[in-house]
Amino acid sequence: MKFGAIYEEYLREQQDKYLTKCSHVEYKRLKKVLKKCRVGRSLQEDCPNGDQQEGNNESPDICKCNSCTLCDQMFFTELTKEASEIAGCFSSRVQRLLNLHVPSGFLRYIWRVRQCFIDDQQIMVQEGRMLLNYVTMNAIAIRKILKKYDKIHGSVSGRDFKSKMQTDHIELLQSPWLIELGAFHLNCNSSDIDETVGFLKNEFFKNFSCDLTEARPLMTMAISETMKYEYSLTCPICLDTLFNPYALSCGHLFCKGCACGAASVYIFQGVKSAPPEAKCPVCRSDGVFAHAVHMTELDLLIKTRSKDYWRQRLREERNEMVKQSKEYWDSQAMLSMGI
Amino acid sequence: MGSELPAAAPPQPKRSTAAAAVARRRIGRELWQFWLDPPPYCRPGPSPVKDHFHWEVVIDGPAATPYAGGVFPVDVWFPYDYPFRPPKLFFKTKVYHPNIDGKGRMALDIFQDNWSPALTINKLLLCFVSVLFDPLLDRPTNRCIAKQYKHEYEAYEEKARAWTQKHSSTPIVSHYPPYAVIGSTPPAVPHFPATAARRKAAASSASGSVSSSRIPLLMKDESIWRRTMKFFQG
Repeated sequence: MKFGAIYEEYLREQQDKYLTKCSHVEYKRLKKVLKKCRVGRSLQEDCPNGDQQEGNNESPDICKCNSCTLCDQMFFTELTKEASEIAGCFSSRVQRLLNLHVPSGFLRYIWRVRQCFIDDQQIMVQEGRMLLNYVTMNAIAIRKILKKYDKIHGSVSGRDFKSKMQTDHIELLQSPWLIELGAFHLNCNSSDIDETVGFLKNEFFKNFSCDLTEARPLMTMAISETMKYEYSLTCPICLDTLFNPYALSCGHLFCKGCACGAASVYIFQGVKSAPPEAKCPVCRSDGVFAHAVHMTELDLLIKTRSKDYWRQRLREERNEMVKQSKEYWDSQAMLSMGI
Repeated sequence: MGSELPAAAPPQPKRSTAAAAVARRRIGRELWQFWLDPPPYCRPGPSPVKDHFHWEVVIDGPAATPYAGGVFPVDVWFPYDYPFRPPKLFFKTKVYHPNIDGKGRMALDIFQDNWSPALTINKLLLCFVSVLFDPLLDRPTNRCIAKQYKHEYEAYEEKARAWTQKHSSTPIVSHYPPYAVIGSTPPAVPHFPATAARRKAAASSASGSVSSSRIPLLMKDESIWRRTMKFFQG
């Protein structure tokens, strides 16, 4: 079965049920544009100059093949728009889902009371799986269409666009929210939940696994037998397993203490209090600390999978925080006294 | 060893024991990684690492350079708030190089403004070997040597070889702890593009009007290691 057919079937089955108002890749339409382009190319190769000119006048829809302006306009602007919409939709939906799973403050008590009457856990797992399918299907669709673009045009524009997507932080399979969703999936799997809930007939998503015992802790997502994505759970600063992880807006993960140290702020002030000129230690992008996200599910996963390590790190961070706050208030007192 | 420079420990700021513990753990991991998979031409020093905050590393002079056959011991000092402040690396012997000063320091911007906590000692040593091979002439520490490198390359090469022979020819045996998993030894084939050989080939292919003592630098032919340096410098 071709991917186009699988994707269409997926859209028919799932888009209406769970992902209303969510954007998706217009795979069929973009494929048609490429088909027109291919026809245009063959026309240009076959016809002499005069005929070709006439052909162009008759059908302005067919792209001028050397520059491929139509393709470029249709493709890359459309794909950028779609990818950013999908990324935005995915992140907001995941955020909403995870806020329900790990509520904080007053919501926690409401949630506990609610759980006495209704068991929402299964619905949440189902929605999590739907979101995973949504993001993987769309990511594969983008990947396939870019491959096709490169094949037809004999160019590397598709590959360049892929790397541009990464720099613009709209690469779907590199999103920290996907890691969060994977952690949520693993956290739910560890509790006793009916595994048959929410599986799709044409499910691409097969397996999410996490190994924290190895020298390099990894989370692996296997979309199919051939496609595997590995996400490192090592902090690039302390070179240890992430503890109390935060994702900066560039997508890089750090421990809270490490991120605060890199941004030269106290731990108790938090990652978001970093100055705007503070740069990501890995990619050196600036202004990435302001929209940092606390990875609660990933933290929960690490907490449950390696308890001793988590406790040890918690003790260390608390000691450091106490020391830092003492230092801070001492300096404030001295400042107020004019010393 | 030849004529060694005094390696005084840089003053350490007062830091909390927790911060020092974090630094010690990170340095321990880096040390293990260094034993496991050292950068090309680098290996551990002769004495065992007793203090995590002070290492000794040996850089073997890369082949096809004036430093070939030389053994360069390097002192590595880590601050107590590492990795939030950069380590200090000093060559313990005299090195005739445009980017190395009289105190054995290599002035690179990744040790000052462009330092990032995500950089590891392996990456820094890779930079060291890279610069040793392919000097950064846009910001030299020693202008006289840089000028000589640009305009009288053969004289520079001769002097650098003589200094290497004089100061850095004593062989050093690396010390590996008994429990360390030692990685593969650096290959004999140079990892870096042979700058000197490339320059000589360019000179021979050029017209006879260019004198051999004034070989122009091939600025267009940017090596992969220069690109690596650019990446590290952001």
